[in-house]
Amino acid sequence: MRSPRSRLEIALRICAFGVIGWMFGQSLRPNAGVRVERVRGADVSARLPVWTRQSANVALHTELDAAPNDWIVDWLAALRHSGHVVTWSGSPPAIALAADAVAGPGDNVHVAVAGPDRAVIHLRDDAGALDSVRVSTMGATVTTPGVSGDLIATSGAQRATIQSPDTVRARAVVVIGNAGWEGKFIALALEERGWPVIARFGVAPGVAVSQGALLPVDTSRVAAVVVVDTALQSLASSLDAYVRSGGGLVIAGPASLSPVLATLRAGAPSARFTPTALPGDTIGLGATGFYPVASLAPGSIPLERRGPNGGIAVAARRIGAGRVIQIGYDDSWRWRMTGGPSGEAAHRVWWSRVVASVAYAPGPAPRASEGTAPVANLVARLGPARPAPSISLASQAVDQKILMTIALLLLLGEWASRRLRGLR
Amino acid sequence: MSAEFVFATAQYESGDWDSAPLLPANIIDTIARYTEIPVAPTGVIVPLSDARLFRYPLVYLTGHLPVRFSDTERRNVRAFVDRGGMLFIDDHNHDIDGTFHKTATEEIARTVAPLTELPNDHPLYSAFFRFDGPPTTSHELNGWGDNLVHKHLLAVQRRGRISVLYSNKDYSSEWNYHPDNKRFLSVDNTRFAVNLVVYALTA
Amino acid sequence: MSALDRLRRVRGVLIAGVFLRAALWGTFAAISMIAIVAIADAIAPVGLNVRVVLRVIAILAGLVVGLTFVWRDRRVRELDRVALWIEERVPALSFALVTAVELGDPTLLVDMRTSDWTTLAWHRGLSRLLTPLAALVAATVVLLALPSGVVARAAAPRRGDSLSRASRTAANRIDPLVAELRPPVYSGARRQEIDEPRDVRVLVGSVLTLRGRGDAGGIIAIASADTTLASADADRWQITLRVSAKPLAIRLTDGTHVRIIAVEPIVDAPPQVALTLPVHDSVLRVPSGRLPLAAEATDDYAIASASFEYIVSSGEGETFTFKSGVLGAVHSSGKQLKLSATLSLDSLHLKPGDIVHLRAVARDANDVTGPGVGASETRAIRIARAGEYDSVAVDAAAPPDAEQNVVSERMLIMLAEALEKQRPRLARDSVRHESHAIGVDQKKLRRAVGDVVFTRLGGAPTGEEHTDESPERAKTMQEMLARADSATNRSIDPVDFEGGESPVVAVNKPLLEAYNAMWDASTALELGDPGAALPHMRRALAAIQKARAAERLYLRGAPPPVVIDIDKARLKGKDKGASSTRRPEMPIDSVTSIRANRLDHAIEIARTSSSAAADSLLLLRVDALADAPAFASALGDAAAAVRRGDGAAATDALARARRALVGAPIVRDSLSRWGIIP
Repeated sequence: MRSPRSRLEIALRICAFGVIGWMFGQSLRPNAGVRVERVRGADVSARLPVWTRQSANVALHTELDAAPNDWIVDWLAALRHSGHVVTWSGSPPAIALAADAVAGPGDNVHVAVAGPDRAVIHLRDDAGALDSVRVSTMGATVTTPGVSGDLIATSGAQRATIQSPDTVRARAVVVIGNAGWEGKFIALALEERGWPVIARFGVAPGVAVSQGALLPVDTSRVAAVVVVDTALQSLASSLDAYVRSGGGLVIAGPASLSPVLATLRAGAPSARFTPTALPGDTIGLGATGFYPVASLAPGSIPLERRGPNGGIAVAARRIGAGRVIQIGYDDSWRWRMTGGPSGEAAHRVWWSRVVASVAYAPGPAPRASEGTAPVANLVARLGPARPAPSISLASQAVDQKILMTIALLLLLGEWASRRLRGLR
Repeated sequence: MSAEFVFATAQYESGDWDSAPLLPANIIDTIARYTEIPVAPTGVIVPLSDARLFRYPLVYLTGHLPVRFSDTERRNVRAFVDRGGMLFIDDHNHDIDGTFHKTATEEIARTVAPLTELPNDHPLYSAFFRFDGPPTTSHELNGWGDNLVHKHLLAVQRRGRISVLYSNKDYSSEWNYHPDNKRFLSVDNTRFAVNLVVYALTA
Repeated sequence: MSALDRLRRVRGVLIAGVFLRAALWGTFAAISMIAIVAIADAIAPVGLNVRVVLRVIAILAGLVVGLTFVWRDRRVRELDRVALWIEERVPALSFALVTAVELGDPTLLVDMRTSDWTTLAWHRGLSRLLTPLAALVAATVVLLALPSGVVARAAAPRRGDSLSRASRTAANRIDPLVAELRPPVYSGARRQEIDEPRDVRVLVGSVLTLRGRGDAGGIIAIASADTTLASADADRWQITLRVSAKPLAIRLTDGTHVRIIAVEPIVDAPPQVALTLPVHDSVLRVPSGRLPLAAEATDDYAIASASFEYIVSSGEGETFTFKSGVLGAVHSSGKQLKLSATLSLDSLHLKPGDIVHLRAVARDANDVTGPGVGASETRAIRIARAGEYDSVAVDAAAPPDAEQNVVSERMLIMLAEALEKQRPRLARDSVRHESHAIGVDQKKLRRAVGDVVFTRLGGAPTGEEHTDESPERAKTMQEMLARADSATNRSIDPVDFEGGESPVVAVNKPLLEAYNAMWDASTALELGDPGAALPHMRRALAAIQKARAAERLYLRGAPPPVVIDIDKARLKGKDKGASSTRRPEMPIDSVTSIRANRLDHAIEIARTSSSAAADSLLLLRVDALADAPAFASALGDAAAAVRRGDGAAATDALARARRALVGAPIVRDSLSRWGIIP
């Protein structure tokens, strides 16, 4: 018959082994979120090697004010795959960057930055700051002449980078119309900008001033065609196929009245709008009037409105693989001559950009380089932001220690009782 | 403001700028006769000191008296040429020892650049009609002026384009008559003006 | 010699000793500082400004030390102190000397032995000089041991003493480098020396001499296509170049060592000349009298001569003769010159129809690239023909339209001001009555100005008051102003002039302003408020004065209008033209794109070698000096910043350079693909 003391000792031993067994069983069971470690974004990279050596019962949570570099995101994704619970929280500005070369001479780069509404995004390259934009409709574009090295966009602590694109070779531009100031100064502006120009200016029946071979008009040699007025009979049969195969077409001023361009133009023009109050000494683009687009063709978009009634002065559309831009201004040359000291350069840049916006200029595919959309990459790899798991490290730690202490105390109590009885 | 070509005569302060009043109409008539270029039926007179100078990218200037640009005229002429305008100057005295020639060439040198001879195979001479050089006028050997037949016109060229064209050949006298009188001529002596205008409108 | 006299002599010796000692210590302090600066400069070159300051500090330190010692021993002037000093050394005196001095009783000093006192003082003085003397000698020895150039840099710092620096590496003979600039004599500018030149601005025609240490063999300067070898000058080498109008990048080589020096030439501008008399063109009825002439000329360096030139044109139609002359010629050597002369119209034998063109011409003293010539505006004095309408505007003749208006408007302003001043003392009715009277005159004047404006436009005068009800007459002020405004300001029709209009439209704008202001003034005057009218009246006066100073009028008749019937003439010519070829225009930006590539390349290099990047930027700067000054200026800042390692300043300067070269980016706040259109 066992004594009560002996029974107590046995009970103590059983309890101690029970606690040990419970701890053993807990360690075998994969318990997600048993322990959570939180770090701030700046400390993540330093903690990654430590986390990698830890067991998967450690939940990792980072608080980010900016998406970390792609390699850090990759590492965290790998930890997730290895069984860790990896979460993040915060609201880093979701900015993204894309860049492609502007068709035409010069090293112009067209940069698109997307970001949250009202975010201020600073754009720079290796040589320094380029400009800053405040986002109003999802994003903004910056066209910059010349980029050195990588492009970097920053908003707050968030940064996105992209390699500057390769330049694109400029093919020729055809300028065709009757002899006049508008055609002359368009050709001059494009040539001064570095575009090779093929020109044909009609002077009299059967007499023209030409430069270069007008035909054939195809995308292998011609990037865009600029039609200045309705004198384009020599191109009538080629233009449609040219545009549909990817060529660019600029319809300027009264050219939109030509029946040859009826299927290509962005919209039917109405009578020329002339403002009642004509400008004084300084005449800017469109100040003397324009041919408004009365009704837009399907798929056309208005790009510029002017005048008291908001007439469409510039409209554009895509046709097949090509692009067409219809410009209502018929005397942009006045901008160059009478637009003040900056008019000449502004006219030149404007016409170059107009042609570049439609020019056929195939180049290498844009590089999908790392860092162009860091927040998007973060969400794609680790999921959206969510709060940290609720189990805290301290309570888990305390439980384990207490259990071990209890087990030890139980065993110690059983041993002490036996020894006091003189037993081994 | 229409898209027509408008013949502009420069008015300057120091001299007799209107010494060839019938020339504009004559040239306008010539342009209409040989080309389809839309042209305004009358010319305009534009002061060199006025900002409206820049509305007419081809401007004609002549006279007998000294040419001395005021500061405003000089600034305007310089900007006019820089932006792509073309100035055609004709010495109505046809006298290289005369004051118009000396002062006008000095003013152009000071304002734009020194004038140099224009080669006779320049595209100007084949812009519409074919010429072997500047056509001789009936006034060059009329006993007045320097009594020389000048073989070349002078010009200031910018990147290969004429920005100032200067003549000692007295086209102002040659072309200064009512266009109705053309019917009395066996050869129209204003044809070179077509080259000038076509060159200005296309080069 | 009495004891008191002896005492005084001892005092003198002691005082001399004190001053000598102070001087020695002060000199030692100054020389020590100079030596320390020289040694520090020998180890690491100290800038010129710092050395100048340190030299001043050394001198001040010497003075302070000397004065300190003098102050410390200042009590040596007191006789009783001297007496005490002697007592300490001659116990036998038993304080008799001190007592005698204190009491002023020389009888106590009778039979006293005094011959030793002076000797004591001499011993004392000399012994106290030993230490400072020894220190001074030591410092002097140290100074003498240093190379003389090193000491000279500390003791007498000046521009161009880099070559005196201690040499650390004898192998590189182009470091240190000094440039001496000798501007041309005519400029009056002083010679200057520049240490370690990188970017030098110098007048065209200057002589640039580069100097360095060591022998001359193998040192070459390459500038454009020219190569110049160094010549020897004692233990130095030198290369001399003449600066032309073209910017230069001088590549200086010594074996593998290379230095780039950018030379930006300053071009001597021609003089600025302003003709102050006569003030404007004139038409004279009688070609006689004396016309005063005055002009002012200024130049950036020196004016050599100035004079008035005139050309007299005679004739009409196709027949003209000319004669010209010079008067009032003066020679000068200053930067400013006023000249004056009187033109005797009688001496020119002018006839009706003759025109005298006058201007002032100045030449500067530039004997390098040829004298720069500056000329003033030209004034034309015309002699009226008989029977021709002329307005005479010289001296006592009647003033033309605008000047008559000025006199009247000024009078009206004076009247209105006087009325406004008396207003508090006058009754309301009186003020209103007087104001109304001025308003009536103002109204008449306004009509006169309106007549001038509208007559010039080819309209009929007195357009306001005509009672004709034809639709052409304006019914209201606004309508009339709108008509006049549109006629003067804008032209819908491509033809600017019609009928017999005179092409003087530009002058009408100020007169129209005057007209508007007069209208406002007369309204206020009619309401009896001269105070409210005065600002408008003054505005009218200013506008009239502006019209006076506006473009000069050349009053000639308008050409007879000939209108071509285009449709009738179209393609009626017998001859047919031929097609022709247009020549392509050269790109205006080809140079820009090359420079942009070079800039990118320099930025690339900056990551690995700042000195190489700085040299690249400097070369690019020289290339751009002639036609892109803003770009060149930013590059200069960038090169300097890169060289001194200031990353932030370099980035800022490079960004400025890029904007100056290729323009600012164009930003559109939308993601449209068409967003590249500005």
